[in-house]
Parts: sequence; C-alpha cells; structure tokens
Amino acid sequence: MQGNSVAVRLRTLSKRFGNVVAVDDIDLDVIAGEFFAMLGPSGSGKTTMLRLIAGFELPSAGTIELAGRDVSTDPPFARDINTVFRDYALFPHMNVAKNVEYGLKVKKVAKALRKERVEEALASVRLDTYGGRKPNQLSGGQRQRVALARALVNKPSVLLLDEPLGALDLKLREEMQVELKQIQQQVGITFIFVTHDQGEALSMADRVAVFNNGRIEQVGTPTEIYEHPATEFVAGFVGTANVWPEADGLFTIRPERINFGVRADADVHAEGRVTDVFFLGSTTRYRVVLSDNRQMVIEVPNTGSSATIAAGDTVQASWRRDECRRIGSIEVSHQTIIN
Amino acid sequence: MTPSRPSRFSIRRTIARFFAHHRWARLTGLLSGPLLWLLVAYIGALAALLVTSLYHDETDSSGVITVRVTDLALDNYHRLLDVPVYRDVAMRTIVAATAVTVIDLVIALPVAFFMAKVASTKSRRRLVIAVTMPLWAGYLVKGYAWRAMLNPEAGLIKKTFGSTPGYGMAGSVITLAYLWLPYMVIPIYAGLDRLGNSLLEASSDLGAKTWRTTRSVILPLIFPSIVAGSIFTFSLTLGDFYVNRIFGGKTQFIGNTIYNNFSANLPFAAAYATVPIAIMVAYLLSARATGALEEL
Repeated sequence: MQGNSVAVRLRTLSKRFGNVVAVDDIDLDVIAGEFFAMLGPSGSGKTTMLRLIAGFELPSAGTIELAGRDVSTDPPFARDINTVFRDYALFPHMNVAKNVEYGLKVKKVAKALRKERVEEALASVRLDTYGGRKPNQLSGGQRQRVALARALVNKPSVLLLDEPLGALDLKLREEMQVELKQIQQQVGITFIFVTHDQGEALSMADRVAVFNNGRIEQVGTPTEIYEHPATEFVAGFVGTANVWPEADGLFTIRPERINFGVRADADVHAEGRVTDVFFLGSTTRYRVVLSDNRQMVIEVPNTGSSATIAAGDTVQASWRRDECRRIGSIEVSHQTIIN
Repeated sequence: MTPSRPSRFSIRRTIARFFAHHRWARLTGLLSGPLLWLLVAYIGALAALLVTSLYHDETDSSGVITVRVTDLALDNYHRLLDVPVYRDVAMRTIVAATAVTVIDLVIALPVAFFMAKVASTKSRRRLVIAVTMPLWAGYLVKGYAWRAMLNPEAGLIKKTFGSTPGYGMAGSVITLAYLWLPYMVIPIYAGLDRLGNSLLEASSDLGAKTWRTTRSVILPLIFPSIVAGSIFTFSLTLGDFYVNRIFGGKTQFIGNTIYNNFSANLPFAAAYATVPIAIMVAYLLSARATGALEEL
C-alpha cells in the first residue's frame, strides 16, 4: 500500500431512481493502492456505487472525492478513473491494439509513446501478439484481459472492475483471480472490484465492503468479515453460517468449526439427527436437527477415512464455545450460548 | 368410444411423421408459395422489363399505326446515353435523391439517438409509433398537403415565415424528404438500439467527449444502418414521379420521363427504367467498397 492517503472518499452518498433507493447514505474511504471489493447480492447497490464513482450516474445526494478533489458532478471523461465493464465493452470495429490505444489517442498522447504504452499494456496481460485481432476473434478470457489493458494503459489513479470475471468459466476465473491480484500489486493502482461472489472477494481483496439494500453492512479485511460478521446478513451472505438468537443477541458459528463425535477440546456437546447430506468434493455438508429442534449445518473435510454418515443417522456434535461469535461484537464471545 | 380420440395411426400423426423425416418435404411446403411469387411476379416482371427495353416502336408506312418491333437491339440505350436531356434528367434525379438522403440523415440521426438512448422504454414505443404514423396516411394526401403548405402566395409556410421555398426542385426535395423520413429513422434507431450503452460509457470513461464518441464509436458502428436507410430514401426518390409531377413544373425526374413514355414509347420507358437500377447497384457497390460493411 502507498501510505494511507484516501483514493476515494464517499460522504453521505445516495442515489435514487424514482422511488427506489439504490444507494442509501453511504460513507466510505478507499485507501490508495488497496484492492477493495464491494460484495453483495444483485440489487444491493454495489454496481450503482461503481457507476457513481465512474461518473455514469450522478448522485442524488452526497459527495465523491478523488484524491481529495470533489468530482461529484464531473462527467466520466473528466475523472482520473477507468472501468473494466462487465461485458468488457470492447469496440467491435477496432482491433485489440486500437481498442487499447483509444484512451491515449483521445488524450492526444504522442504517437510513438502511444505505441510503446500499448505494447507494454498488452504484454502485461500476456496478449503481445494479439494486437491485430478483432474482439470477436478472441475468447472470453482474452477479451477480459484486453478490457483490463485498455483501462490500465491510461494509468488511472483508480480502476473500477464491474464483475469482470462473471462471464468466465470456473477454471479460468480462478486463474484470472490470481492474475488480477498480481497485476494490481505490480501497478499499485487502487482497484475497486464489484462482485456477488464471496469467495472472489475474500480471496482477492485487501478489504471488503458488504452491501445490502443500498447500505454497507460491514467494511473490513476478509478475515474480519468472515470471523466477526457485524450483522446477521453478513454472517449469512459471506460463507455459510449457523445463526441463532440468545437473550443478549444473535450468535453464529461456521459449519466447519463443528465436529461430529466428541472432540477433546470441545466444550459444547449436542445430539441430533442428520436430515440431508451434500457431497461437495473436498468437504461434505450435513444438515442436522438438534434435539432442541435447532437446525444446524456441519461441514467436514473429506479425508477418505471417515465413517460414512447418512441421512437419518443420530449423531453427536461438538464445538468450542469460544468459536461462537456474537454478531456485531468484534471481541470473541465467552458467554454460554447453548444448554 | 370417442371418435376424435388421438390414435397412434391418426392421419395427422402420419403427416407429421412424414414431414419430420423428410427435410425436402418441409422445405417445399414452406417455400414453394413464396418462391413461385418471387419467380413469376418479381424476377419475371424484371425480366419482362429488360426484354422490352430491347424492343423498339416503329411507325408503319401509312404513318398512323405504330408497331412494336421485337428484334432485340440496344437502340434505346444509345438514345438515353446520347440525348443530353435524358442525361440531365438522370443527373437532376441523382442530385435530388442525394439531397433527400442527406436531409433525412441529418434529421434522423438525433431523433433516432434520442429514441434509442435517451427516451424511457415507455416513451420509446410511443416515439416509434409517432415516427411511423405518417405512413398510415395516403401518399397523395401528403403530397398535396405539402403543395398547399408550400404555395408561394397563400401557403401556410409563406404566411408563417414570410417566405417559402415554393414549388420546383426545392418543393420536391422537401416533400420527398418528409415522405421518406421514417425509412431513415427506423433502421438507424434499430442500429443504435443494438449498440450497447456500455460502448458509449466505455468511450466516455476513456476520456472521449460527445463529438469524439460520435465520430469514433457511434457512426462507424451504425454505418450499415445508415446505408440501409439511405437505400430506401435514395431509391424511393429515384423511382418517384408523382411528387415532382405536382411540384416540379417543367423539370422532370427519371420517374416523370418513364411515365411520359409509357404510352408514347414503352420500350424506351423500359430502357430508362433500368437507369435507377444501375444507379442503385453502383451506390451499393461503392458502399461496400468502403469496407465498413464487413468491419462488423
């Protein structure tokens, strides 16, 4: 990270479309040089946020500052920001090199320098030899990288990415996650990344903002978001969570922190009946109804040696009390929450 | 037992199975009607036109009766190339068709852009109806309405603005531009509708202002739509005769010349009718030669 200066500062930012409030009174600071993810289900306002920052939408209220300068009402071409679009938005009538060159040409960068920067940008996304191709002659992953090169060649202070990996198949998506992260570290540009995929957000981002109904539910590092969800929504949306109410609030424990049988260091035990079994490859997920009628999800790694548990079996479950977290409390809960 | 109960051996099933297994039968069923129409009424008429253009009319020895000589000869074509007035009429018609096309293009581009990219989905539908609505009214009614409006003495335009372009070539061009405008707006609207908003946003995002985006992104991408629209405005003007008849006075368009020769010299009228066809072929070839049609 390049110090702690703020790249993007949002204050009381709101956007309404008619009666619909898409973005609702958001305050947020994105630090220069960080890989920031905006995570949320569709309709949660994360894409509208991105469009507000890019300048495709104007805020109904509030301000957007870029490196300390108020750009709230500036048009997109006046903002030092570039965007990688969800559908890539490559110009179909221009070849790859012309697409990448477009921003430089518009800004009247000298021809020799343009050529050099285009080559450099294409090399950085490993498409050096593809300059002469048309977008429709490329695969989805290649188009994605052209879109990235076309944005990065302008050396913006902030790069916005709108679900850039959404259209790729799983294998390619995982490769691109690694590549994006590497590129971000090389160029040191602030990346703001919109996604509905919690795995993507957790694995790539330095910090994550979880969106719901136009509001931010929580901002934090992936570990904080996962281990200490601030709201029930965050607990449920980021990963799978067992959540139940107690006298002093909601409590949650992750399915992989619960064991079958009696674990030596566990201090909570319960008995239940397995209702459903989902084989997930590296793990198996079980739905269990405890003797007090509470539903619980338990996930165990597939080591190949574990005894098979089937639906209908009666099982013992155990876990550690200090792995139950009270929602909203950052400190680990030590309260008795069961029995 | 119900008589209409479907059985395995019902006649409808047998027919359906026959069609399912015989591709040629499906295609014959689908296309024989339209193909017959195309061959007889469409290509047939065109062929008759071309053949007729190679005939010529001769007055017999008495000087009263005209007979059609059906020996094939290029006499009519020599005549339309050699006689200056026929070249002038063709040139005048091309100029008018170009003017009509340019006027329609200049009007249609912003209108279609508004319809496709600015208007709400609801008003978009209304605008499409509004743009095509003049097509519901008769051609003659609209022609005479413009004649009344352009009347140099008492027309609405004279009364409102103090002066009027009047009749003649200007009146013809204005009226034709009005008549064919929907044929330009609709293809361009369709082209802009297909053009993703994200392309416009990407251009703006990369630093381009409105004019740059128009020049570098919008116009190249809707060029095929512009060509499609201009084929309508251009060819409809080339083929029109009535508007110029009620406006043009003595100056003729290709259509008037053909019309005037119908009874007097049908073979020559047929030969002259190939002129707009030749112009359109040349026009399309030049549009293709720009390479912008294959770019996409």
